[in-house]
Amino acid sequence: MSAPSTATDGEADDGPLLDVRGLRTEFRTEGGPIVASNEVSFSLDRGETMGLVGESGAGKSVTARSLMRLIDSPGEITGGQVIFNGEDLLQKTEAEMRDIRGNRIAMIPQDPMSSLNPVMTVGEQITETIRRHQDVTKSEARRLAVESMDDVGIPDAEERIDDYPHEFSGGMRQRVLVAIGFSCEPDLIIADEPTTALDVTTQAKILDLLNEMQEREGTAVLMITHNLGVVAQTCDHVGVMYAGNLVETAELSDLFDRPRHPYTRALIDSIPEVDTDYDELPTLDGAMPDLGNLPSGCNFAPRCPHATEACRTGGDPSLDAVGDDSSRAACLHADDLDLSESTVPEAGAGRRDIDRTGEPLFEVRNLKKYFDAGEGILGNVHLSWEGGGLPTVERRHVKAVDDVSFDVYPGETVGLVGESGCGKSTVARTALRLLEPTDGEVYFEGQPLHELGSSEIRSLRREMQMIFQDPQSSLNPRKTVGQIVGRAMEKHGIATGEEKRERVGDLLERVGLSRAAASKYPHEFSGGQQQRVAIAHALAVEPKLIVCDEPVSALDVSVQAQILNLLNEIQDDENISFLFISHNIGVIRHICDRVAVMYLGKIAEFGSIEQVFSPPFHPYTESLLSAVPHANPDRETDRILLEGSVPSPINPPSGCPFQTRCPKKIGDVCEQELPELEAVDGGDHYISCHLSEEEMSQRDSFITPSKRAETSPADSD
Amino acid sequence: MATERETDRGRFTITQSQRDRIARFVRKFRSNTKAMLGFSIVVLLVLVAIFAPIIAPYPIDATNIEDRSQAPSVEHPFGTDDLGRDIFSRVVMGSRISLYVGFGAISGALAVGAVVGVVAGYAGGLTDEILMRVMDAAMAFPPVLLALTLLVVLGPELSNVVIALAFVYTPYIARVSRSAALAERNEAYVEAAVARGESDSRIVFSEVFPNCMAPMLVQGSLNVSFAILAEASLSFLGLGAQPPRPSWGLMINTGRGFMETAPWMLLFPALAIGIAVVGFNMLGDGLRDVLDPKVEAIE
Repeated sequence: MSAPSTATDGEADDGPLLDVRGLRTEFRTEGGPIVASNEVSFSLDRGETMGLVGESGAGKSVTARSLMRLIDSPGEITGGQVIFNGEDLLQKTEAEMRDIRGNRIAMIPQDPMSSLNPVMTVGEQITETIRRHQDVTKSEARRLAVESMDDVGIPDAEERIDDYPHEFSGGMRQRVLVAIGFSCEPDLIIADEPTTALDVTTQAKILDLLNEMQEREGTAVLMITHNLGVVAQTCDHVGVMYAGNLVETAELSDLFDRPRHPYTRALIDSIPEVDTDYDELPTLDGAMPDLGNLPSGCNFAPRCPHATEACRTGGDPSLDAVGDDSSRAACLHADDLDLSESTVPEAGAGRRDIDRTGEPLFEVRNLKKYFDAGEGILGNVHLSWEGGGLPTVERRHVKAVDDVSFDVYPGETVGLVGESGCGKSTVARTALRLLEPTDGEVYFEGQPLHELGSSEIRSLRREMQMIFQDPQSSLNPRKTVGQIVGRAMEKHGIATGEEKRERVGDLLERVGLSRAAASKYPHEFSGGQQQRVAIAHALAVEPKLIVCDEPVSALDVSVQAQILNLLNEIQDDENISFLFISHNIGVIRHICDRVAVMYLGKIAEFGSIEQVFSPPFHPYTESLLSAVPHANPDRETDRILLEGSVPSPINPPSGCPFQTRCPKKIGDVCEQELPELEAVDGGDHYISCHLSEEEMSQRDSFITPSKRAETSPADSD
Repeated sequence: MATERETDRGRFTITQSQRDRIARFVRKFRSNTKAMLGFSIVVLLVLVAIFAPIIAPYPIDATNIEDRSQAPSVEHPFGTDDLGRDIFSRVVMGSRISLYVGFGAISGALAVGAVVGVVAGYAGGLTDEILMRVMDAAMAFPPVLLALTLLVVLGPELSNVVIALAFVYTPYIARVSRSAALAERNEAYVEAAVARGESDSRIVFSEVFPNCMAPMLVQGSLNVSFAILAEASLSFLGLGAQPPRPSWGLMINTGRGFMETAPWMLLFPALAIGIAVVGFNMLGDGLRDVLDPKVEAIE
């Protein structure tokens, strides 16, 4: 399990499998060349897993693609060596490279939805790779393909090999891609964000699969990811990239225990962990510099809390060994900085107390939203001939939201958490009447929203605002920031003219932008800044409730922490309520007072953070929480991996919606009766399950009292 | 609500950002050979049309039986026609007719088509179905045939040509603006506007519309060339401009009879049509490259 020491020179008998030396990749642009991968050097031994982490734009994907020589114009590899099995890949001809790609070095791409050809069966796509590189007959290739599908855990591989990609779920498609990657028994697999597009429970299964495949085949893996949790779970050693440079390489445990570069420290700290309390997330100011306009000194200096004059002027430091351990860091002060302690303030006072004695601000009762299945006017009509006789006409619906009730009190943050397709976004949009509800009641300060006419709703919109996932899309590209924010004030008659401009400026400063930002267009800002504009837009009308729909999931972790802190701060000052939708359990844990866990359009569990993250658990909550990868290699939870995938909401299972996948299913009662959302432990903690309280309490709380409690030893193999 | 009508546009003078945006557009436009070439041709045509009476050496209807059917010479650079009229003067004056019909018809088509398309794309559902099926029905006829039918009803007159062609090209503009609006409709800023409490009409015209302008402009400038061609065809068939007006299509029609004895009667008006069509086409293509939002986003 312990990683072999990383030799920087190919000293020993046959040297490392992959030795990258001074790799440099540039892109030509109008404003001069941009160095996307700058003098990157690292090595990887056989059978070893190395992680390459960094935020978007750090150059990790470019580096990985450069290894396979997959850089297209205007990009160009301008220097360095890529020694693979003793040969420099950069000296090979294109024809020789084609024999290596997919054969000796394979890639597992990020997006399982677009990486498979929709008009070819998965079998054809696997055999295609095999027959390209191995001299085998068609039937032999097919046999190998079935075998490789079996290996990656696709059930009934023999039958499913002739299916098309759309007949597989996202997780299964990713397995097909893994099968293609491993099909020629390569020496090296480059996995480019292999789980980013997947839900946590699916992600956990794919990571397990990768670990297992690697163990069995002895393949080396280069894992590209932005998620330190994934790194902690899979890698032996890690390289951290920032603005095109490799800033630190270290063995996994060293990286987390004793990071040598301040950026690594900051990256680890800014992730909200499931089991830690924070008042405020530690953040880095600003964002990664534009690659076309790098600072003169160390690239990280403008954001570094330890930067000195030498850092700001001395040019970019090189990646050098630190002290006597195997870590290397590109930092002038790597030898004299001790970064082993996290800068997280120790568990603070936690969340404020919420007064829930009065009337709730926002109340949703038995909300339902059904969409017609299929397209067009008659698309949802379905004929069935069950039981003979005349065919019966049936209207089919997608039950996106099915009988959901919850409330939000003033100043409170209520989270909606669940995997993609569980209906959490639909709940928010239906509750705000951005979509017409099929049934149910929604009250805002006692006013029945579901009964109001459209003009009354429009004037109530002042009280309820929304922040969207993708800030780039939520700001009109043809309007200046000042027009966007000011329009909301004009619309609701809050301010006009000079006063409005004054207020827009104040608001922009409030969210951490300059007043001058008002005259700029949205595209001139980075993603984090755009989200700040979106927050200013929501605040402009002084609302009482803001619905945040995945507001940080499009952002990098260091920026995510800034936005979460800003939201918290605003709530403290203005006593605004948030309805916070996210699939990220860590974020929910950090920002919410109460949380509803959703599965297939229904609420499985609802209660305060402490209640939901501690026993008794709904079995789904339990597996969801256990699947979250910890950004800490010392702590490994006992994960529950769910079988199968989420059933279709057109035809949900009978009884409890979770019964088809539930590891604790007790029998017929689960299949026949829909469990009520009932209060457990006598309070305001609700669970919808047939199990008894004891049966739901077999696991310890996910909230550990002390920070570095040792749990069962890591067992990632 | 009426008191809030005041918009920012009048009060902010042009900001640095807007200047940058215009500068970037100009820079990209100038570096695009196709766009610049098309633009130059169009500008040249417009200048010729404006100064036509000054440029043209002879009146368009000055017949001179003695000089008829003369080959190009110093006095008559494009030669003379069967009635001894100077073809150069007529081609120059004819540019006015072509541009009048081209711009006139497409402005009309843009005014109607853009609104229909954006409303259909934004509203969706039944409104979309009805509006677009009407457009499809109009589109089912070949453009020239439809214009021909309309002209038979309206009477052969140049202003009627403009009306007929505006009608013919409306569905093309509508289709393009509908698909642009459909794409914009799913952007979150539309939902943000709904969540802010904006009315539908405000969202359509103030939020969605400006974002659909680029494809409309491209389609519009391409269609100007089709309209010029269509006017020539209609005049050729005798339903457009009436003699003695110097429409290029009409001149070709007359020249047809003298193809063997006086080919210049046909050649020069045809050349003029070709240049005008190529010019507007290149401008449209170039604009498409320059205005492509994907290209803009990367920068």
